[in-house]
Amino acid sequence: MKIKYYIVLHIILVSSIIGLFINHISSEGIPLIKEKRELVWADDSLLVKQFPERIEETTELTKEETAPELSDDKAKIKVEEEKKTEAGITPDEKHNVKEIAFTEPKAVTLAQALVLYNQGVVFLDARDNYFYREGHIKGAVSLPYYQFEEFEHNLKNISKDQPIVTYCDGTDCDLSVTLANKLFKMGYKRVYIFFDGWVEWNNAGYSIVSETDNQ
Amino acid sequence: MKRFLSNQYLLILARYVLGVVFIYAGIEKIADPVFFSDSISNYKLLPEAAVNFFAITLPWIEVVAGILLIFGVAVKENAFIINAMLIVFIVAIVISLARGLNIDCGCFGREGSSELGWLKVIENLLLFSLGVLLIVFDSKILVLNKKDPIT
Repeated sequence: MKIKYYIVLHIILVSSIIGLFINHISSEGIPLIKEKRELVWADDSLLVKQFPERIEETTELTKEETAPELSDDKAKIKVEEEKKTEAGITPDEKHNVKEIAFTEPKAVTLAQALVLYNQGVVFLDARDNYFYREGHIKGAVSLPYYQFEEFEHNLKNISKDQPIVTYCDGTDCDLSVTLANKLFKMGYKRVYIFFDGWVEWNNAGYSIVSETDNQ
Repeated sequence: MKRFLSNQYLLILARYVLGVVFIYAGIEKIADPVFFSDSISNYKLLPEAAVNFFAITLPWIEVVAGILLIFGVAVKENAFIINAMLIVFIVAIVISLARGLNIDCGCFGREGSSELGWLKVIENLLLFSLGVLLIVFDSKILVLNKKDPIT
């Protein structure tokens, strides 16, 4: 049981220095102090109505929404760019903004989520399917992050151009964010994160489907 | 029992298992520091300002300790480091489970993403017990240690 603590300290110190050095020279390095805000919140102007009318069923959604509002898009980009510069994001990322409307999934508040909901935007439930069956936002589609392959077929009716909203339990879970990032990487262009999630939605008394309804 | 536990082949197996697991875990985290940093902050145990420092250094400590363990350099010291990390992980996971956090473990970076659960605690306890073996018994084969003149 003879542990030489100065060797322990030495190994930890040298490894840490290697880590800090490589992080410093790496292009994917992260700042030493984490930026406070992880989520980029959507501006209200980003919630422009996407659909001619409210559509209840996700399967009926079409791809028409991108064409008619090019001028609007430009306005959006401007707002985005302003936001970005405020947040101190590198010029590289700013460049990408011009190509697509979103550079990353955007978080929405409860009020914004309701606006999207009333537009007929699809909500994706990132929680375990068990919780989905127990109760979910009315019209939401189950897409558990940990059973993604199993439920991926739920995505096939959703075009990559149409907006989607992810949610999970509430602010204590990050599945909505991880699912949103995953979908965004898969090519979904307009991904919103409803970070307050199921708990707040339910508390606010908005439309839900619960297990008792199904019985 | 003691003879079995101090068996040199068992000890070298323990070194390999711990080494490979930690090298793999570390490399996955190094490959995606942003994800790991988010994973740490999801646990809500560290002040935000300290999160990235750990996200940067911890994976390298994992990798270095893992490599040294496999090559048999300062086996006890590296097993000690690994066990210290495992204790931190176990405590963090248990606290998060008790608080009902529904988060990704972050244990093996993005590729090996897995849900936080008691299974993780058991996994870590098993690894911990391997570490204890290496601290208690001398692993003598395939080691590069020389007598340290300081002691």
